[in-house]
Amino acid sequence: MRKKLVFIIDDDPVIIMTAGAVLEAAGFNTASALNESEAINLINRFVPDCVLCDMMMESIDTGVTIIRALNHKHPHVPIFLMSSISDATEHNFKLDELDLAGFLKKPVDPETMIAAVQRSIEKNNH
Amino acid sequence: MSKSPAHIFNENSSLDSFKEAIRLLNGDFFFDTDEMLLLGEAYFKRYPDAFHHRDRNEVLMGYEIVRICVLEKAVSGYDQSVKDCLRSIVKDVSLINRHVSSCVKDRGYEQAYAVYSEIMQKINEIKYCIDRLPLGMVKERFIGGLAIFYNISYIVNVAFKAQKNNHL
Repeated sequence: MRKKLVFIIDDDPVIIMTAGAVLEAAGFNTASALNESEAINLINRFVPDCVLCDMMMESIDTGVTIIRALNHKHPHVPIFLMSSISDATEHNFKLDELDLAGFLKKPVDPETMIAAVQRSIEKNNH
Repeated sequence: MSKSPAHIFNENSSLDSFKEAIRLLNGDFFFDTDEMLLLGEAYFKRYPDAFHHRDRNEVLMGYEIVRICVLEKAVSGYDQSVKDCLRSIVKDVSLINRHVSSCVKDRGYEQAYAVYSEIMQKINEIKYCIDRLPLGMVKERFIGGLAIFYNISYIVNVAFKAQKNNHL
């Protein structure tokens, strides 16, 4: 059976390396992007089974911009927003307007991340 | 030499010289919530944050400064082989299986796992201090810096389980 593809979007290559290694150890394939344009381009070509997207990248609300674009183009793909909760609440990013599978508060517990990804993919397949 | 990472940061203009100065202290530096706040304030004074068009290199440097402090605090008191091992796996997680295997071979499974557990206990104590930082960008940098240690811990734990299964 094909391994499920999880796409990680984060401007920190060390987070991508370590979170990717966690997900691969849990049996997923991973792909990644360091910025908005790279993320949108790659996801349009290789539609993943799940997306983990950081909030703050080029701008403090880049994650919201990316998720809005992905919600529009790939409405079936579950997306998790990763952030320190303070970023979102302090700047009132209207997260309730996004179609999110969930919110993962940093530092993300690896077991929680794996379980959340597995659940969202399973739910999506039913 | 000062035991304040904030002072050390102000005295060192490059990341490499900051890292070297912190390493020379062998973990004997202050790193409680107040000191974290001072370090964050010193960092943002030198590299002010922006809402749009943030300087990615400066943001990543913030995470790296935190990682240097967390790592050196976590490995303080251990011999050079443990320090070298942790410093290398933080740079490249693909080395974890090899290092865990080597560590188990040298020390035995129980002692090697005890070292890992003690290091994670120290990292959890650092997280306790980070959790007490006020909401804001200083806390964001500390959380971003800390996050990788939990991912690395997970993979190290998986490697230990594999070692244990190999020896059963």
